[in-house]
Amino acid sequence: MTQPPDPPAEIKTAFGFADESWQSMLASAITVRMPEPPRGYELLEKVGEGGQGTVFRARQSATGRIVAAKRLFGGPAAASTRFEREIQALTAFSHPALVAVVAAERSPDQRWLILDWIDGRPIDAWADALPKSNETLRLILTTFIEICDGVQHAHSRGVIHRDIKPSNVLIDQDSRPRILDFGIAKLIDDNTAAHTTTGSFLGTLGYAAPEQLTLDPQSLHTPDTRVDVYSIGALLYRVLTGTDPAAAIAGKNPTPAQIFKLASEHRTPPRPSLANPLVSRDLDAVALKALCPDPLSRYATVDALRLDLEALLDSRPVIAQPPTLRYLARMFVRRQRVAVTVASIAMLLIFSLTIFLAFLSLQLSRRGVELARSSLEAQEQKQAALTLAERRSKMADALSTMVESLAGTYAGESTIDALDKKLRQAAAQIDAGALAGDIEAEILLHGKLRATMHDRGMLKDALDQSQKHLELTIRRSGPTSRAVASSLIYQAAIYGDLGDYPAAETAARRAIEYDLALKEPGALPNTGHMSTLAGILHAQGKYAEAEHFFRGRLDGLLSNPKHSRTAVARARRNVAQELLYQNKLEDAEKLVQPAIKTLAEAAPKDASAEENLHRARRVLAMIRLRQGKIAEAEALQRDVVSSMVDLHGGKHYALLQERVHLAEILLVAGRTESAKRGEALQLLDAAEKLYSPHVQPSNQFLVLLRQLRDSADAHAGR
Amino acid sequence: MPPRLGQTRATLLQRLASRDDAAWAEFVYLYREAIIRFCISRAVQLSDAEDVAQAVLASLSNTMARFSYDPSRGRFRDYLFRCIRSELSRIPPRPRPESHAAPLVLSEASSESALSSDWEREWVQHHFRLAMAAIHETFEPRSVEIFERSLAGVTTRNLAAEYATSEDSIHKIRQRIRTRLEELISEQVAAEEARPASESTS
Repeated sequence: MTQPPDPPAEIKTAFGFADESWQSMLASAITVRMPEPPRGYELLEKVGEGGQGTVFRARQSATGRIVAAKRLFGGPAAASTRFEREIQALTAFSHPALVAVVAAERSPDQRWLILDWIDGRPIDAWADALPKSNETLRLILTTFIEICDGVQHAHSRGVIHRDIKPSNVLIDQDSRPRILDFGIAKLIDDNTAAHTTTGSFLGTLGYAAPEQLTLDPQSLHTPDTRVDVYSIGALLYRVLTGTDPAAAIAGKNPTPAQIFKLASEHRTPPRPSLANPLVSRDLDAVALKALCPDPLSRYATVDALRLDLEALLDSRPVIAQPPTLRYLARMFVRRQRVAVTVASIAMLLIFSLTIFLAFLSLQLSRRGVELARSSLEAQEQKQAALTLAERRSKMADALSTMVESLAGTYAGESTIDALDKKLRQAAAQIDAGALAGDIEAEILLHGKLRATMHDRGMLKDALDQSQKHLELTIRRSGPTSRAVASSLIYQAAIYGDLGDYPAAETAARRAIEYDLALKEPGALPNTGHMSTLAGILHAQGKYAEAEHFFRGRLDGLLSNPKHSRTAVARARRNVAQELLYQNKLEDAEKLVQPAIKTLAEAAPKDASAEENLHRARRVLAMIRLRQGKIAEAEALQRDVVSSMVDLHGGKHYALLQERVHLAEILLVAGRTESAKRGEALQLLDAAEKLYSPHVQPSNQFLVLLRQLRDSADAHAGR
Repeated sequence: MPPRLGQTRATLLQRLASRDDAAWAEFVYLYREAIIRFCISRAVQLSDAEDVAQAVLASLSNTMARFSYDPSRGRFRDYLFRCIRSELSRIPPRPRPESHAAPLVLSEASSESALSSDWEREWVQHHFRLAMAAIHETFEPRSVEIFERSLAGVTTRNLAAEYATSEDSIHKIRQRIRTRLEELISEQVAAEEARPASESTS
């Protein structure tokens, strides 16, 4: 260790080291470390130190009660009637969400606030530990309603908090919010003096309203209760997205100077749903209205914010959204979501039942004809009919039990997560023998559950259903049949989405092999199967081979005079994508443009065409990106993402790919605009959180996602 | 929780100029209390003192980010003082019936030197507090306790008896900590006056 040089003479003189005066100066400088406790209390330990003073855990000597004792900076010089009045206002609070000021103590040279001791943790840490689900979202809304209640209670008594931030809002052991630290609150109705209008937020700039940060006295909007509306909005934003609004605009760790600049520029953060797809458009609107840089456009009161939060909980229209007819209609459907969900599931099961019963009836009549032909006894015919009737009855019972159980649950739970749970329960019921060992019924329902789970992005569950479907199909139809090939190709698609490409390729090639084995020698394989295999090859970076199979499908379709125009468009889109990845941009565009035209014509009447249209437009966006037309690529891909969200909801697996591609474009744009880089990183983080539990780490889009983030980090580090 | 102090002091002003949130938190932690204490010693009410601290630190953060702070034009503490004085002058006068502290009359030239010497005293105390925080991190708690009790007026003889050691040991502890205090304060002051590095090209 190098020895520091001798202190210069100036230091020795200025600090009194030249004589013994340093002792008294030092003693008076460090008295804050060893204060006399407030009267009637015993200090246990120092727990924090901030801009306003030092906080100790303390014990009330008479009762043994544990409290927080806050020693305010300033000593007796700052004592004033105003201080006493503020204390009076604070001790008058009586609200479960507000941490009560128990007393104020003034020893000869110090001032103390005695507060309730709260055993809890800051709201941001609490929120970060919650699982990402719709239940959590409801819990967050309920918590913020309680926070609004507490703050409104203080406002109605003339006190503004002015410094609401995560460390000032604790969640206690009973999961209730407790708002701390009214130490810097000002009386709203303080007529005795004209106060300066800047607040005390340094160190927590990300949560202060712009009008609190604007330093030009000429342009000041006098801070009122709306500063607390803003801070609650910022807190809500942080809890929903994991980032405070300033960081969401300026990227991680914005400097204070950047935050002041944002405040003066009246910038708003990106909508929370970009970082957290569970957030609805209404919640987006509510959070952004609370965060409006212009106080006049913000919620005028905390109560107004609370009413909108309550409306969100009840799926009623919020005032943050303009009341267009389309919006009101959407809200109506959302309010009926419980019924709609139950109806959809019931329809699925009833549809399955109907098909199955029709199948049984057909079997029954064929069997009847056969029995009559073979001149069997009428009794035997009756017995056979009875057996089938029993099976029908058992089937109907099992299915109606499922439907009832779903309906019962949905009356109380309106979330999509509950739907996932119920689908799993339905699967378990089949496994438990609800279908009385009826192999046809089991195959049918495993197939339905497989498709529903796959559509909902429950890939691992879908794979499980797919395996059961395959095993039962083999048991029923033998190892090589068209049904087995179909089951296998579906399984290949699920493996592909999961990211297990070797398993996917094996399954797809087996499916094609089984299919060919059933055909005349020299016949072409099933074009759908080829297409699935090509997708799997693409995911492994085998673009030329993938192009070969996609072209095979396109040629196959075109050779059929009765070909479907949308199927051809899809095939063109697929070939275009492979060309794109081989950097043959002109050829790719020549194929994708007519595909987009055809799909756009079909989209209004055909949901599948609509989805394929969006995918085709993404191919075009990526062509534009490679052509260096970044803005056009960004606009296209943003539209693709929002259209896909409209089509499937924000959680769907298909969105992973679209979000990753949007982030890819934003990262390129972010080389000149840092906000876009921030948005891209947020998108990637949110997508990873959402999808990584459902797919394998080898999933092509997760791999791409990580590569993009690494390259962004490397770029930032240069 | 207060930010960690110590080794990082030397580059604090430089770090403020870059995207370093921790540096900002440390800077606020270091200087906010000094500004508030100084204002209060001038009979400024606590809420106004907090406002002054906010405005001063905010304006400094802007200055640092633009690299226009030029140490060759004066010491950092004088620069800080000018900022504080300017913010203090914005506070409207108001009756102070209970205050016995020095009146805040900035318009009178005679008060200028008093104001300046009050700031100088606060600045000295500020560095003592910082250095003591570092002492607490590096010395044995027993030694620091002995040192602080001796500052509080307990005699060397009593301390020696109480801690079952020799008076000579008590002297040595006092001397060791005093020497380290001098070194720490020298480093702190030198760091405070350091010229910020020029902007990196990243």
